[in-house]
Amino acid sequence: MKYRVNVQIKDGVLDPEMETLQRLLKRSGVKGIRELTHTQSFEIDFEDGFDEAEAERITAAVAGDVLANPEIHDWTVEKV
Amino acid sequence: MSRRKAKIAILDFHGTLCERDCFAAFADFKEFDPYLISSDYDRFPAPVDGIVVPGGFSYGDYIRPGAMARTASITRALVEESQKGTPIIGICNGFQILCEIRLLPGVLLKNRDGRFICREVNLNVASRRNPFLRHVEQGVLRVPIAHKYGQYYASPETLNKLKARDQIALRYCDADGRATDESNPNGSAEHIAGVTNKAGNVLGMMPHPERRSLPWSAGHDGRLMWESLIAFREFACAAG
Repeated sequence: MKYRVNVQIKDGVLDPEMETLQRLLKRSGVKGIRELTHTQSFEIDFEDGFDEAEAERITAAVAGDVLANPEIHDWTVEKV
Repeated sequence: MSRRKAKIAILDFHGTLCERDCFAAFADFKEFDPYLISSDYDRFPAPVDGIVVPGGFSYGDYIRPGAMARTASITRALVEESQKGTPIIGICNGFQILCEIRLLPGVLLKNRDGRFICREVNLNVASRRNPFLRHVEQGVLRVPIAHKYGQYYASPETLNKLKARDQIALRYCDADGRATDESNPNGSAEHIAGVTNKAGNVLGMMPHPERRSLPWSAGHDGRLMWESLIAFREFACAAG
């Protein structure tokens, strides 16, 4: 039983790394890029036979408490 | 009035680096009895008169600076002490930790220029609600910063609340105390260098007062903050 958590910077929050990369790409001749963003992806794999409802609860808590910071991130959880 | 020394707990997470500097800064005062406590403990030995969350790279800055501290045993006790009104200061990575465990609002992002900055800055004391600043009479403090993730960010709603509740404690400024764009080293919202919690007893700040605290330090403005805590305790004892 595996869950994937995708964490992305919210719109409007500055991401200097992606801004720099976008600027460098433009300087090196790459055209047409409107925006460059970056998503972190985590996978949480539970032991065989583990309670599914409990696994979902744990995944949601870990995602919102540790993997993402609600002040700056949007995140999604999907079962894979 | 007989008075015991104030017990100052200096927290040591895995990867904390500045705990010895903080220890030395407090040990230089006869009023303080500082001690180091590992984040693997699940409580602070009583009494606790103050807690320092020092700088460094706790847990290697994995996930985000400060984020992993949420999983440490001591974190629950730290939250409980904050609710009791214990004076708590988080410095640099300590500030990032206090934000990540939601004791303080906002978050510290990578600096506006994406670079590590190590230099002296001026700080305007914007609010004196916190015990470490209450009795600081000097309007501008000069202390160093050394960080890559120091750009304070909070949503516009949170920033409005911080202003309305007088939670902005320190702002980057020029030598005359003016918060100008040039004096903001990392692009922090509202030039914020330090904020407090709603109650005022928890302070987080990116600059390092402990590095301007000892007789042989390059400056001594950090010392004013520890003197403020001494004055605060005396007042609290007299009132009690």
